[in-house]
Amino acid sequence: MTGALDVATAVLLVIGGLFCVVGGIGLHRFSDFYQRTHAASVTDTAGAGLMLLGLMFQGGVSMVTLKLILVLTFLLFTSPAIAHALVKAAHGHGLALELEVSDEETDPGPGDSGPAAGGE
Amino acid sequence: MYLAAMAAIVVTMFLALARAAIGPTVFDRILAVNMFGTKTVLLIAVSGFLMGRPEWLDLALVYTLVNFTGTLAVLRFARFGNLARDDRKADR
Amino acid sequence: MRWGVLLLLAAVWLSLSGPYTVHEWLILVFGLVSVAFVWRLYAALDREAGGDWEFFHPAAWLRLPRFLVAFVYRVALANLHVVRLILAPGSELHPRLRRVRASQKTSFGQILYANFITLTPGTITLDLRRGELLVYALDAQSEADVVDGSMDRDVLRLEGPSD
Repeated sequence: MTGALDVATAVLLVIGGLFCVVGGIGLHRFSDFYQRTHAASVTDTAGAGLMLLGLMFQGGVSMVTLKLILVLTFLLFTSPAIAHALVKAAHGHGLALELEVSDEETDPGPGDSGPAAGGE
Repeated sequence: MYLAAMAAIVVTMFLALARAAIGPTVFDRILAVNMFGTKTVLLIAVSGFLMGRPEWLDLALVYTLVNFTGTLAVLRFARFGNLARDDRKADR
Repeated sequence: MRWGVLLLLAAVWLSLSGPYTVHEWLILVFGLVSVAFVWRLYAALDREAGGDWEFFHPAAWLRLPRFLVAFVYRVALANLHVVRLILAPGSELHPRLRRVRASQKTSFGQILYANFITLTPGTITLDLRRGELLVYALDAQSEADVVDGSMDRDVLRLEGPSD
């Protein structure tokens, strides 16, 4: 019983750690700021989520697990808010986006059902 | 296993620190520092279990929120040069 | 359902620092004061945003588990995709910026959708204006995940029928 839970914790912690490190690598492999935010979001979702889930197996049904869930909830609410604030600030500041396809200048009125239809 | 997880977190923290040092833009630095903060939360949580002191989770909880507020404050400061005035006035 | 928010705040506070001994009643008073304060603050913010507490209806909470499953599934898939992008040697990225419709009725639903997109690695919301999101995607596949509207439907389902 305890053995199985320990194994689950170990596996989740290690996988979560791997996701963290991969996100850290992505922070260096991606070439501009906007791409790097995606690498950071890998560590914030998969890395943090798996590690905290692994720790929940150790906590069992207790206050500890509740606190782990709260930490995860707060992380899941704050990390997109930060990411959005950063990207919007960078965009508003005029940091250039390198783009293949861009809808930015198109008129938001009639053209909005176009992309959803899967055209291109 | 806790040690392996902590090692992974610390490696990630170093990668984030390196990005914060390299930049090149201020947004890269803030992103990296925010990531460093998230990893700190995880490090506190994991080391709490390693040391048999799960009550450290309270610290992790508070650190999450402080990290959020702190990052926003720094971002705002980086953009507007102050923390208090109204956006529109400061943006000019 | 503003009372739902009050109960939730009180429960969170109580679980983190409840009066476990008789001597902690002073703390309980502080707790009540802070819960009441945050509750009023939330009410003021919600009024300013034009919301009416809809997401604290019991029905919305019942729909939450299904949304969470879909959420975890999509975030997991997107994570694997971005990890592949990071680790693939010399992978070419073709970032793109697309406008996506947020068909949720409430502003809360739209913000939830925007957050969902941002949280999913590979896509990030740059702007939210008049029910339209400006989404920055890392490559064609990440873009397709958003443009096909499946996440939009997930949030719509959580939002539920208009009541």
